[in-house]
Amino acid sequence: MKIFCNHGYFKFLPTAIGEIAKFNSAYETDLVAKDDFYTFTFLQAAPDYSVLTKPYLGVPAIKTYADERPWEIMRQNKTVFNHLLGIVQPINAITLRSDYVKNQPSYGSSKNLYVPGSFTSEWKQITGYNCLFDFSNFNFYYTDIFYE
Amino acid sequence: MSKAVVAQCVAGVVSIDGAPVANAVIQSKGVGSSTGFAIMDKDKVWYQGKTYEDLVAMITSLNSMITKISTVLSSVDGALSGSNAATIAALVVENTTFLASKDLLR
Repeated sequence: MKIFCNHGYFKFLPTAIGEIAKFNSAYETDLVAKDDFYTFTFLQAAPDYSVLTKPYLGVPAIKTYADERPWEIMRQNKTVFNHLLGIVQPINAITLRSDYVKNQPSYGSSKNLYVPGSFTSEWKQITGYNCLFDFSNFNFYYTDIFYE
Repeated sequence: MSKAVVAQCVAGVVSIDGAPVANAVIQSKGVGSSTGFAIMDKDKVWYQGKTYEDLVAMITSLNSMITKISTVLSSVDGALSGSNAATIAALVVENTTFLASKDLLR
């Protein structure tokens, strides 16, 4: 299954039938369908605009911004979805360390789905990533990591 | 893609969901309080107030003025020869039609 984390907004794209159900069962997540992908229930109804000082997904917006892509609104408001807590947080509130180490010559892999906003061992703050989830060994293979 | 939302404008300040929007460009006059629409596109906001409320207020005010004028004309004409009675009556009819137009705005 492909996983895209774009400025703290998650998209899950299953490559075979049943993958979403298996993932939900294995990790007790609540992925639901939205447009042509799946995402966390909390992100499903993300509004397509934010207004300065008004809550956007529970966090006071720092910018008035309209875009049909909720990840762009989250980027403008500097927020990410913390899937461990099930809430949106300002990216500056994330202090987690990830175990990301880029293996040679291939991809970095982990047993964990990184929380966007967490830091690498080089103290780079992760804002997004592209990832492949392997159901055979429950590994997350990170093909691209994006930083602040 | 642009997004249209209901907005308000009071004293030149546009609000969306009750929160003021500092950089909104007001397309209408924006002096009187109004409810209208804000068009949002990325970080740009344009506000357009509903102008029919201005028209309704103007029609009501003009109707009142015309009523007063026709009353004065009736009393003045009656004191003279009364030869303008038909014209004054027509003015009253037209004024009634004018007042009704506020309920037929497109």
